[in-house]
Amino acid sequence: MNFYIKRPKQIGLAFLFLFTVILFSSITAFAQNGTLTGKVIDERTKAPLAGATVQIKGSTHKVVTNDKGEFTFITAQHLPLTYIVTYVGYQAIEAIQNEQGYFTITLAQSNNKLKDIVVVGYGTQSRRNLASAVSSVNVSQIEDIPATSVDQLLQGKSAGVLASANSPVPGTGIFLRVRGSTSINATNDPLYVVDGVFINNRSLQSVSTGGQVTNPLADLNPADIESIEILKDANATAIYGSRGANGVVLITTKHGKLNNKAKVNVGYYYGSSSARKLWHPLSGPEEGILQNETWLNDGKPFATRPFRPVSEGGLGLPEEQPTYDRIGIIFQNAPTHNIDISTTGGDAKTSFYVGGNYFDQQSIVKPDAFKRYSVRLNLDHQLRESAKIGLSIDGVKTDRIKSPNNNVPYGAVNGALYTPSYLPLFNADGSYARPSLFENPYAAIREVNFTDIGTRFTGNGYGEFTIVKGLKFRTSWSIDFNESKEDNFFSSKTYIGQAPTNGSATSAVTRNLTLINEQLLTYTKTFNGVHSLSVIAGNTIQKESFEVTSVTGIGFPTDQFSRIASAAITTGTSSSSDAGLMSYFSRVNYIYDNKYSIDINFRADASSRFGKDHRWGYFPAAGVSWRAGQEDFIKALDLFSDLKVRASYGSTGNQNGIPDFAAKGLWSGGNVYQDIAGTAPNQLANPDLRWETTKQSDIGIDAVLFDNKVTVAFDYYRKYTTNLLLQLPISSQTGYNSVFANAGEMSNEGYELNINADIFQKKNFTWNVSLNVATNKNKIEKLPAPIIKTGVIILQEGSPLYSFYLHKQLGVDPQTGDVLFDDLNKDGKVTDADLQILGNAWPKFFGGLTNEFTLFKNFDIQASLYYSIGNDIWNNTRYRMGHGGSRNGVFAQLKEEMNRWQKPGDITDVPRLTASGNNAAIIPSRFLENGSFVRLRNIAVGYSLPKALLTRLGISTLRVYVSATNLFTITKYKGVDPEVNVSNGDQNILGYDQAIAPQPRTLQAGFNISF
Amino acid sequence: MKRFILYILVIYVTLSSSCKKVLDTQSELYIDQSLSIVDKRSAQAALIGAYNSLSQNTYQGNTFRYIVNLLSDNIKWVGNTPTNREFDVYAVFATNSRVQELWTAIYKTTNIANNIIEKVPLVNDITFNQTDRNSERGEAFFLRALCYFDLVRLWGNVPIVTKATQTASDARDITNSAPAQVYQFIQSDLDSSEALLPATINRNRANLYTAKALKARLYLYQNNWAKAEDYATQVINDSADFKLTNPYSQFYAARNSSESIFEVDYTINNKNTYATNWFQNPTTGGKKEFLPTDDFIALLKDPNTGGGRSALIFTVGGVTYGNMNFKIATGDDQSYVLRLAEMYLIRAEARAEQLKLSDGLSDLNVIRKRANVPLISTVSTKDDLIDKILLERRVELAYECHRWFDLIRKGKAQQVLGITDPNKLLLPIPRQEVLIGNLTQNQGY
Repeated sequence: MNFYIKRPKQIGLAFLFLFTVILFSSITAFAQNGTLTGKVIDERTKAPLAGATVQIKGSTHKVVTNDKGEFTFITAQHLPLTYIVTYVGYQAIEAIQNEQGYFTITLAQSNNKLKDIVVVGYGTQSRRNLASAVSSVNVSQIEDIPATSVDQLLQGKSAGVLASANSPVPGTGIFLRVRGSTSINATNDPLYVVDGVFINNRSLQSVSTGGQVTNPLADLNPADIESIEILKDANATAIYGSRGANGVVLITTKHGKLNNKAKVNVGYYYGSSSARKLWHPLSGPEEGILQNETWLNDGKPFATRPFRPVSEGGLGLPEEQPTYDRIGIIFQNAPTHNIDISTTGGDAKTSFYVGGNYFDQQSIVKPDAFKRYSVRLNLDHQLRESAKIGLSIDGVKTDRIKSPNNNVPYGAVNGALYTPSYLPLFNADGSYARPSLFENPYAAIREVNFTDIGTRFTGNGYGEFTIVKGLKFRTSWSIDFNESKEDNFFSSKTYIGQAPTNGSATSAVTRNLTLINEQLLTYTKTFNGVHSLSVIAGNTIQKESFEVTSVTGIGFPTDQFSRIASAAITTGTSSSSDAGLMSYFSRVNYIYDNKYSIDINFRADASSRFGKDHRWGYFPAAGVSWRAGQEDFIKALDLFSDLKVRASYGSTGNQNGIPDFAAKGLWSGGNVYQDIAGTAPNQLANPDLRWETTKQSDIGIDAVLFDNKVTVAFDYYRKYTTNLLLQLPISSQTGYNSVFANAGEMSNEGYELNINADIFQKKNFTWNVSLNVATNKNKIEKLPAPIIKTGVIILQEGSPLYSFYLHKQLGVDPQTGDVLFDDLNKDGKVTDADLQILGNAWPKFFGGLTNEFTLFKNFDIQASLYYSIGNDIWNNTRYRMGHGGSRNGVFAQLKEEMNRWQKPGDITDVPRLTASGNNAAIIPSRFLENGSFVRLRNIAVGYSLPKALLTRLGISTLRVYVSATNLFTITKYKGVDPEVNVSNGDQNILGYDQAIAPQPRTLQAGFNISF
Repeated sequence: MKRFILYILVIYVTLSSSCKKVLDTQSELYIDQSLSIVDKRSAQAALIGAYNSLSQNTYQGNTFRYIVNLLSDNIKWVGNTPTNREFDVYAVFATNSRVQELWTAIYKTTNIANNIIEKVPLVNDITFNQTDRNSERGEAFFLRALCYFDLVRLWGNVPIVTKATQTASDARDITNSAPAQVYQFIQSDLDSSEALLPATINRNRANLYTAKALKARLYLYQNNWAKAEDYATQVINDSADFKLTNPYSQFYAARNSSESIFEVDYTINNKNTYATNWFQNPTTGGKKEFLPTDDFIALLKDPNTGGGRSALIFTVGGVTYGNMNFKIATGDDQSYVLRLAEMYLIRAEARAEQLKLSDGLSDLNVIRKRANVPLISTVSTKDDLIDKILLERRVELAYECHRWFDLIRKGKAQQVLGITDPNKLLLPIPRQEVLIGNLTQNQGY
């Protein structure tokens, strides 16, 4: 044995962390022996490669090359030696040194992803032997997109990952699913892990803006990200057990490299965003014509029609009506600024990365805006050859300006869109007019002050030691503190604050604290050169607390006062919740001869949310792979550079998203009557509540063809979820309308295809294409009773999630102008029995296409398309502005209403205008639309200044670029944007459009410089 | 090396001992149901909770009044949500969300009452004396009776749940009862509450007089005229506690007026949103879903029928609004459940039905006098008097959820409201309840 233990220092058992630190110092280095030196260079350019990892095979002893590409080993090992050399973007190789002396190793650039090292749960694996479905996202493809959060950047970049923005408001949530949705009431969001630490994805917004919620992932600066991996099948995710059912997004942030001169990188861009398409409501005269027509159609007297001459007591004739544009008031050309400054480097023992970011994005809809200030420090230090410690700290402050949105009558979009255009913006006395139900758009922008200041601190410290050769122990401790302070004030000039309220303000502090401790043992060994074994085992303890304190005040003396202390009437509340999770996990990975590989995973989790007897969930999984490309009969085909077949099966769990005390029978306090607090039943007990479990099987093929030019990955998967966590509706006569229960089953099945091809690799021109396409078919296999959401979406046994359930409009009767509804049960009436599923919001297939070009070495061009085909959208904006109830001057109508049926013989799908009968009362399917679209997500052109020029200025690289986001969208959808969703926090709602502004089109220019 | 392994062991032992703490989380916001009613204080808190449940927006706060008033001919609907319009045109779908929310809210209230009725006798607390226990249970019986009265009037055939729910399967299989059985159940609850409640006046909580007043109404609905007259008289005779206000509008302008027998109390800490239905901004804020009907406006404006009750409307910018619930900002308009004027009108009708025409007429005139409308000197027949009483009820109790039920009670709803299908006089049982429970849907839905 090459090491010994020093005498331990005095220890305090109570302070575990301190204890761990002491542990580092109790282990010493290898005995010092001979010295080996050499360098690593690029095969083609012969340039030195700084930061490459050189490891002595069969040992854990590894070093990183310095900025001259050189490495030095001080080791007792004797020649001949085999080095394993890895470097990002290059093919990993094994180089054998037989003789003493300076040893030069050449690396070839890798053109395909099959040979890269990929990050997996609790470690890394070589992609060529990987037995699971893991997608890597090419970070260089997403760095020019002006997105606030990393989840938005995943759109179209990985097969099977559906990412759809809900609204154009920066810093709000997006709808993201990996391989479909597996749950109804527990979460469907993937697990996010940053540098091995779970990142809490719970929104802290506690003051409602009417729907869109803040996105905690916007706290992470995308420029700090080195790589993103998405774990999709059970073999990859089961190591995260209870939390892996919806896939895992592993994010690795940038770390410094040892022996590397410090480098400073500065990036800046400016962007300007605008709305691509807006709504077109009727003009004043058109409103007059249609409202009069409705009046007469309803059999009311001509003499009292609403738009009759003022002299007769009316509103004036239709042609006399003015038209006020409200929509233009709320939109703007919104600027985005982003500055990133980072420095990274390292000496022989310590490496660091420090990154700072300032991001400032305004929304195209006033007054929303998002700002982020962040600093990240990643520090790693080699204490001894056998001990390493590190620290990651991320401090973030976010400033949001928010406003009521979605279907909120006092929001800017509702006020601008829904108020009929002939109605005035101002009253005679100059005050804001609110002639309909909705807020005045000027008041919505100017008179509401709604801020949200987020403070987040994420810290993680780890220690890693080698106990014996091949056996490593790692312990890590992390804290994720996230606080949001929301303040709003609606002045007396607003809808909410107007007399007699006289101003309304709310102030809320929400705090989420997560503490995690994790231990991990890793053992790797290669026997006889062909058996490679890697075993990990570990445990995690997690504790989470969530608190909200809020106060509201109404009745302010004047609008100059906006703090609650100045209010006449104040009310306050506070609440809190806690959850804990304990886990043990292990994985065995065995590779034979770099040809056959098998993984076995196991994780056990216990959650405080479940009944005492059902706390523990056990999640096993296994995967196998066979590198057929290594077999002679495949080699003989001379087609494949590599070919791998893999299969996996396993189970994962889910408990996130249900309340912390879901299994308990609870009574709540606070139920006030006559200003006395009372108690009342709040939740029915279900001691049988247990884990929701998803079993997933996956078969995949990874192929590299045509001399490493083309890589193809194909996967087929099937997921089956049992014990669905459900807020199960129960007979209300019990006094409760639901109970949390495991009821129901769901399946998902799909194909994924990823192709990456180097079409041209010439000196002055390269062209790379990557295409991904995925399908997912969801089915609710069992559900005790159907659940209807927002009147048009149904969850029922035998149908997929996100199904639209409506009365089918067959057409408009040319004789009567009435809507012809499909009378399913032929009873001659339109009743609930005639409702049917007419569409689904989940696309038939979706994915992305990215083209990358380089010209004359210095120019780079990149274009990314995102597409979603075969999805339906319920256009509730059109419904709102086109059904019968809206023809009374309260809701504006859209231009398409001019095509209404007017006289017998008219052929149209817009029925006779009337405020009564089925035309007005029944929700018809004509507002359900095909939401398929293809969108040019991003196009960027960059120019890197010639090295020769820059070297003289002391600059190592300088790239300038221009880019455009959402430049065009091809769609038949009649709304302003097919990428839309008003979920109101309900994850079972998708493809529901209601007064949501379009995704912004952004033009930007920027530069990246490093020296 | 040994020492190192020892360290690891120590870490694991320490962590495993904290394991239990990590998993045994306790809510700071809720209490376990087994601790809900365990002593005097918690029993009283549960009773407050029952009143709070009654006062919720989904019940008395808004939905109950929303639906019942819209079904009448005093109010028309001018809003924008088709679900709400269904009540105005008597074409209510079983999927209607407001029907569901009201059903749920009422049964939530009865469940708290059941908890109190069941658990109070079992509480082991010597400070909780029999008088207090009686009054506590008496109030719970009253609340349960009030709930079932609303249920039976709106839906007819409803399930009767008498036990507190402990698990999801407890009340699951209970099926519909016929209206007669439900009325019998209400009668027995009111008998219990009459026997248990003290004669202490509290206009926001149940007491002996509240129970008697509701009994008077119950007997009226059951055409038990003698008993209706008797119970109305018992309340009217307590003239020390109950007096008609003057003017008419005083009963809702002031809180807990002398006329009030039971009004659901609202404060800034327990608001209702009912007022927002009535107005349109910029007048006073609100979303204008209700307007008084033209013929109702005409009745109020007519000095022979309206009088002081013309305060129930006001006109701004050519639009006539209803004017009884107007505190949009503070949300503390009371909901008036029982008041003295109704007792006079119950007695007038009960007397008329018993052919005591002049006594009935004199009760009617008490109300007319207070409203400053001309007194009626004679009536020709019983039917004539009853028609006049019905009209008086329509105007006097205009926004207090009586009209719809009065018309049904008197068999006039179809004719007056133009409803062709008699099945529409009952609401559909919410579709969800029929799907997942053991209930039969009302006919015609």
